[in-house]
Amino acid sequence: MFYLASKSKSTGIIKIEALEIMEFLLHEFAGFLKKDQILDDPVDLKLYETDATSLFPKKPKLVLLPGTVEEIQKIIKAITRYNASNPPHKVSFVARGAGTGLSGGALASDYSIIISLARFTKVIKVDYENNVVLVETGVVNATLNKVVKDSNLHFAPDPSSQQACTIGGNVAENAGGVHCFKYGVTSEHVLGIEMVSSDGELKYFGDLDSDLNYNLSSSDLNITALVVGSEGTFGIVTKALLRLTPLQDSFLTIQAAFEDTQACANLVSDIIKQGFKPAAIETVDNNAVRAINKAYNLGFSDDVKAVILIEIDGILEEVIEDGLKLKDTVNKYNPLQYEETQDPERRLRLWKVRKGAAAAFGKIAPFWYLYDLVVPRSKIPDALKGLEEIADKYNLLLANILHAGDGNIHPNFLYDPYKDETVVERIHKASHEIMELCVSLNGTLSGEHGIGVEKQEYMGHLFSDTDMNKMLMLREVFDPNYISNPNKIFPIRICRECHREIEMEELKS
Amino acid sequence: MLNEKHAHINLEEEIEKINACVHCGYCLPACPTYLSTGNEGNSPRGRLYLIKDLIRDGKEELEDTAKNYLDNCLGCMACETACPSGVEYTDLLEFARHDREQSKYHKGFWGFIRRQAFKYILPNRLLLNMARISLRVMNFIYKLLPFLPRLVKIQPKLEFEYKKIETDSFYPSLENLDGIDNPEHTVILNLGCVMDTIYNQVHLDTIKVLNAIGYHVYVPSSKCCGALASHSGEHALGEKQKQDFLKKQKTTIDGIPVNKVVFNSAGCGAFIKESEDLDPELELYDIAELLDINNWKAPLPLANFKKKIEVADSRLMSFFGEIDASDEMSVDITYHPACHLSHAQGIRGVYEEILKLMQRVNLKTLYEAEVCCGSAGFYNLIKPDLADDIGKRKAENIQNTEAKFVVTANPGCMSQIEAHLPDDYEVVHPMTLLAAVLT
Ligand SMILES: Cc1cc2nc3c(=O)[nH]c(=O)nc-3n(C[C@H](O)[C@H](O)[C@H](O)COP(=O)(O)OP(=O)(O)OC[C@H]3O[C@@H](n4cnc5c(N)ncnc54)[C@H](O)[C@@H]3O)c2cc1C
Ligand code: SF4
Ligand code: SF4
Repeated sequence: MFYLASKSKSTGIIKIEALEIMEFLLHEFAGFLKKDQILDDPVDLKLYETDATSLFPKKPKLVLLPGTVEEIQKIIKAITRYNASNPPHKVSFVARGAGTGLSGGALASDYSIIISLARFTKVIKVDYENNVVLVETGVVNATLNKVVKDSNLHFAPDPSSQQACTIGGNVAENAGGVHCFKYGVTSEHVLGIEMVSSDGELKYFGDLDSDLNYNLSSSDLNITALVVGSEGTFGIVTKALLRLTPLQDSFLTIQAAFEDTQACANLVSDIIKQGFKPAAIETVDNNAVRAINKAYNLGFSDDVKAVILIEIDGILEEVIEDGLKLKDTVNKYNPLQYEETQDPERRLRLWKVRKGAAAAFGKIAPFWYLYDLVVPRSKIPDALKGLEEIADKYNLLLANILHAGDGNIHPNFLYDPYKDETVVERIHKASHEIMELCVSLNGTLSGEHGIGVEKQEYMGHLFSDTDMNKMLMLREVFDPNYISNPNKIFPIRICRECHREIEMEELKS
Repeated sequence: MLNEKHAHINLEEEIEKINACVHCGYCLPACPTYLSTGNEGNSPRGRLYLIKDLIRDGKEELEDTAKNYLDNCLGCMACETACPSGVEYTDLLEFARHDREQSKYHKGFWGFIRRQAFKYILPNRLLLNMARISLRVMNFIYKLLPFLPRLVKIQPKLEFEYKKIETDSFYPSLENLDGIDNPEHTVILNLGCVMDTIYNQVHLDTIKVLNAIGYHVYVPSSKCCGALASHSGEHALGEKQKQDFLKKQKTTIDGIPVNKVVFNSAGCGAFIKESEDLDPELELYDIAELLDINNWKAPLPLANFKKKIEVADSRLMSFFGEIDASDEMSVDITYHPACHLSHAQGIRGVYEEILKLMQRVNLKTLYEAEVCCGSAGFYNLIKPDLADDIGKRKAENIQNTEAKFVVTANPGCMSQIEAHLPDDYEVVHPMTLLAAVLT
């Protein structure tokens, strides 16, 4: 069952009956996919209308659950054949991992088929000699880490969502995590890639070749680095060769609570100025502390306005020595509460204040809307002040979480549209000002969650049309027909320019 | 939306519960039905998204596809363990299933048959035994004629003999311990329904183990606790069976009341523990809680227990069929935690700790250990295909450990896992293993 398409506002595609397109394609898909791999019931389409964001639901036309790379190739070839013989129709496809994305990257566009990687969960080969692993991209980040943990190794990028997000999603969004301050984000840990490109052919980049052998010293043009972070717009990444990092012998986790956010921000600058290289520096402020305290009974007093978490790791002597110095530094800023631990269980408890943050927001309001700003570290205090002013102006409940070490701020608005009818509109207005604030502080729009649909219209604040067109040209090299996760990242206006045929159609209609 | 059927439900409360779900997806990899199908509708997040329609958006009734997704849920509660936001998934699902009288499993011929089975077979030892024998006959036929279509994808091996256990009887501990006469040291053990029929040996072993750690055991003439009926949506029947069951949970010795009740079937324990109207004097334990070496409660001193376990080399080896085992020989074992133990009661690590004490046992890490095996009450009967997929996945993970012995503490898990493993594997209840080691 399909919905009839009406004229789409965003791309201006003329009225076509989605029914016809999909019936044709469905027939093709049924030739090589089983019934339970093709989801076309309205209930199913609704289930895939969103990822972890909630502001831009959009139902796909179809959802497919392939089980093999060949099936993905066949799907994309069928789409390509259809598009070639029926201009100007453009059926597109969108890869979906676990749908934990926060920028709407895995959502459908107007004529999109979602291709889920949920069945690609094999860890193909762990090479303990070279500390690399070859995985299918539907493998969950934390699952991979469980597999290699016994050998004292880990895949270092550790987004807070690691218990659910997939390697494919990490690669597409160039995910970061609390320990990436020291270890680097995903791009630094991907050595090679197998990708089904938008013509349905298999491509191999980096150290991986078509026999799935790898040559760890390959020195070609680093195309892997381009694919990482391309948000699924170059094709569907089906396998990834990843670097594994040895786990450190010891660690020390410090948690300190402060009465004012400024002290906390200054402390961060101080730590970095002094040349410490902690594995993580994270802070959580005001309403966020309140929410988390309430959710997990962490016992912070009401005066606490900011909590900082600092973790150092390495060999024991080093950790102890640095730990002592860090303690002195932290105490200079008069914390209300201070705790340090080397006990793994206690460490988890201390981390709760950070890792449990997002989920705890559910206790305050059913929805949260999160931004992913990066500003120069020295501008963090200005950014926090500006954010507070914007929240006040629009009467919004603001909670900030910061990867303070690299200036990555996650402001969150907590809201309940069922109780407050105009809140979504106010958030949209506030978003605009937040983006402007960020740009005025020489910041960027996304640290780790990607641009997706969420921030595409703000790209123009940061990049000129010329710059964006250059990026699009790069994209065209990989996806000349513009069918792999289209209408994301770049403002729709720009997307349309590259989408010339459709523009023509639009002119006609 | 809400109608008369939901009259007793407080909508505000339900809204608050559903609001706690922030759609983060953290629960996806914990869910057996999602792992097996990769379908969002078969994930906790997906199910909650559908339930949201009922609670928040005023939908009258769910579509058939949606109902089917809810019906696919095993009720294993792994999602509640995984959820950082504390979503009360089970309650919300229960709410949505209130419309279930309309679901096909509750209607028509099969619904009727099911209800009769819950009502008459489960509480009746004679009928249960007949069912057990017919399962055996079916197994035998399957073995002779392997090409026959399977009616039921469950074939417990049923290899041990059925030995009747007298009810309303005492089984005293013969351990020579200080204060052994203290009535506090008596526990009540219920025979239940499925366990006694299919794994009756486990009861005998449980009594041995309890006696060995210094407890006297009283076995009342109780019947099915109602968990199976309730978990299948037959709430009224389940409630009645539970009340009858609870009436049997009290006895006295020399005028002193005995109120410690022990369960060796995690499903029953979890179900009874969550009752709202329990007699406050009743103390409910899963047998694992009495064997927790980090929180030892039994009359036998912990040091003695540990010693017995550590030195039980030759007994252990002969239990595993390694009769002439040389001194260096050891045996690989893996452990599958029953959902009703880990997710429902939060009891973890007890048996692993004991297995680690056994010097000649290598405890092999089971991948996806806390993922349900697909047994879940009568799930195999209602959703045979999905139960089979989930069972196969569990079996594959077990085979990857290279251990040939699987320890698990719930009759449902035992039969489901047995059914999916090759013949040379053995599934053992921890009581059976411990009875062999301790006595
Ligand atoms: C509570 C919470 C906390 C989070 N914390 C962090 C954090 O600390 N750091 C961080 O970086 N992110 C974080 N995220 C965001 C998110 O988890 C990451 O972006 C993650 O990498 C997405 O993975 P996924 O498998 O869910 O991808 P999805 O959401 O399914 O997809 C995300 C994008 O990747 C594309 N994609 C997915 N798989 C493939 C593939 N195989 N080939 C090509 N394209 C593909 C999709 O098309 C889409 O554009 C958080 C999210 C939540 C809900
Ligand atoms: S149930 Fe919990 S873990 Fe699952 S999506 Fe909702 S909030 Fe996240
Ligand atoms: S109870 Fe088990 S099967 Fe049901 S949604 Fe939760 S994890 Fe999945």
